[in-house]
Amino acid sequence: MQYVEIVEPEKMHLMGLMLAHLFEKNLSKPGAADRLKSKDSRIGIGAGGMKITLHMSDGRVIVSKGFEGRIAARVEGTMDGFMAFGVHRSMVGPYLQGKLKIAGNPFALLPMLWLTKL
Amino acid sequence: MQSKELSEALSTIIPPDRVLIDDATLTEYSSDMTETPPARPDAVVKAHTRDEIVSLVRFANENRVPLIPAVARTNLGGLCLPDHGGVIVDLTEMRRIIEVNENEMYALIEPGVTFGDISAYLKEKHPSIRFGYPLSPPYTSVCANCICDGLANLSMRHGAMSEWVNGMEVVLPSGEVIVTGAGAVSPVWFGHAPIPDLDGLIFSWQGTTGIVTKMAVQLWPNLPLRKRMFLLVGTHIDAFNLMRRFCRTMMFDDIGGMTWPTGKMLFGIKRPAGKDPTEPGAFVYLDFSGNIPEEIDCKLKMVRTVLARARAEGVKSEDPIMLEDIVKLNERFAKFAEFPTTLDFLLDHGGGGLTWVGTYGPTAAWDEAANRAEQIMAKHGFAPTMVLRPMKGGHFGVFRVITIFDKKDAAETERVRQCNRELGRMALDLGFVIYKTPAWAVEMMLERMNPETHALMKRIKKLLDPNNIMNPGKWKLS
Ligand SMILES: Cc1cc2nc3c(=O)[nH]c(=O)nc-3n(C[C@H](O)[C@H](O)[C@H](O)COP(=O)(O)OP(=O)(O)OC[C@H]3O[C@@H](n4cnc5c(N)ncnc54)[C@H](O)[C@@H]3O)c2cc1C
Repeated sequence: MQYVEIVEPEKMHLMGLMLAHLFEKNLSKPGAADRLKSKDSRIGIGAGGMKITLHMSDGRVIVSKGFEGRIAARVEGTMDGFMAFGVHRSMVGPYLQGKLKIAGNPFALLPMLWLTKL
Repeated sequence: MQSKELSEALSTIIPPDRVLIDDATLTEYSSDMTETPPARPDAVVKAHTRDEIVSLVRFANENRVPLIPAVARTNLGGLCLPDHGGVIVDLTEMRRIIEVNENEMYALIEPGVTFGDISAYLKEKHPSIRFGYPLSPPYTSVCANCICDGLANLSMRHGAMSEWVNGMEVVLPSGEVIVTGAGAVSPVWFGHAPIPDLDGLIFSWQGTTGIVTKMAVQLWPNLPLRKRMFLLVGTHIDAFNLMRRFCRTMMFDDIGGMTWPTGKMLFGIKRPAGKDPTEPGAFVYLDFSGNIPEEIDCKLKMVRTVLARARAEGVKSEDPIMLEDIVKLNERFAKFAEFPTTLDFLLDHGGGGLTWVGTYGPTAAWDEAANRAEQIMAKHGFAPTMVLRPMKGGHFGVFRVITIFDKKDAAETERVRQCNRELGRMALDLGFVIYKTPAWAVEMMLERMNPETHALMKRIKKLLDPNNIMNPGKWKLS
């Protein structure tokens, strides 16, 4: 992977692997990685009981297991809630259905809108 | 017979350009993907016609030369390795689809016809009917899979692939050519009844009783709407529970369960190191089809109903994820949408070794088998990669434990051998029967097999093949 690094990929859980692939796909689009150039922030994502920390820094994303470090915001939910989010690019539907829960600074989650686009 | 003498003799039966004795060819045919020790043939011939095979068989009888029928040699049981030398009868170039009967829904094919061939042919010429496909690569033989009692993506409905066969043309070891099934009497190969069922002389005999030169296989209507969905399930026990429940609805074309390493392999992890306690223990896939959207909606509703009932009883599962969404996430999952397919994560992992202990048996024993397999695999240092599928509406099920390994690593290959033996013994203890049976598993099965059954198998073999020329060594029949 060019833009995404998985910490200890052999030990990474399924959700981490799935999202890492998705991030890589979306970051490979022309100009996409530039949108993370000036960023240095961490987001926590939990789905289906599995958790990862997404560290966006200098145009790259590092995916590690669990919630690690100073996390600006967290989004947690069911796997299909994330799928619905990825397909429709809106957290509103799954949020209202109780499939996603958000904590922390919601603005920090903005990159998720395009990083998790299916 | 000396190699040169043999090749000269064979060249009087088969044109010399199709008689191969060069070192590269013989080396290639000496091994397969598995841990089975290599065995070198004396020659390889590429047969083109039934009459060539008849002459070949007569020659082999006169000269006591073993014949090993083979197509893609991917059976994963070492079944095409010439334990006693001899001639590999490569059938890959007998590749005609002779007839497709749309009304009676069958195809009459030659033994080299592959799953890729039949799929392309039906798509182009008979789009209203379909065949079923295993997870084996598209270049593998339909006929060989039926002979070996294999399984495909419609086996949940229609059973093991031998049950899909209406009849065969077979060159017996004597050189006689028989036809089994209705085709022995009627010009239409519509079924294997109502005459005495001679197909049983071929199925699961692993090429020891004759060479099939034609086979009529059943086809089914190709319904216009199809869906595939995945469920991430807490534990493999929960997954099997769900699979048994879904099975009883009689709604699905296919139901499969795969343990956690498989999911990771699909995402490019060649050797998953261990299960994270938070991740699902298995995933279940469900395939169904329908004629109209309402039928699909009804089936979707049924999935949700079954799931809700199971959850109420403590089963932990995520909601279904549709295949089309997963494919957007990772194109590699498209492999699960289109059949036939190449599971490259099993084939292109760098080490070249692929093996399994594949069994049919009682689905009631899945939980115990998977628990024990997990321990055995861990003991030998392998990830517990298991694939399970209910067969024939749930009358029995597949329990298959897969290992990828580095063939160049002798120590690892030996570990695989030990591991497979332990898995095989455990599965037999729980009532499973090992299919595409490798030599080591035959020995274990014979310890348990009704002795009169094995004695009758030997008598049949002796009757059909008194000189033991057909794939000798398999099933320990002489
Ligand atoms: C990645 C992978 C996935 C697989 N998935 C599946 C699966 O889902 N389901 C499944 O059932 N199998 C599966 N297989 C096993 C195997 O690929 C299939 O069974 C395949 O269809 C066998 O075809 P083949 O051409 O390789 O047969 P071969 O290995 O060439 O032959 C198999 C046996 O049949 C005998 N034989 C072949 N042709 C004749 C003939 N004309 N007359 C008499 N005897 C004959 C041979 O002597 C041998 O004993 C898989 C294999 C791999 C590598």
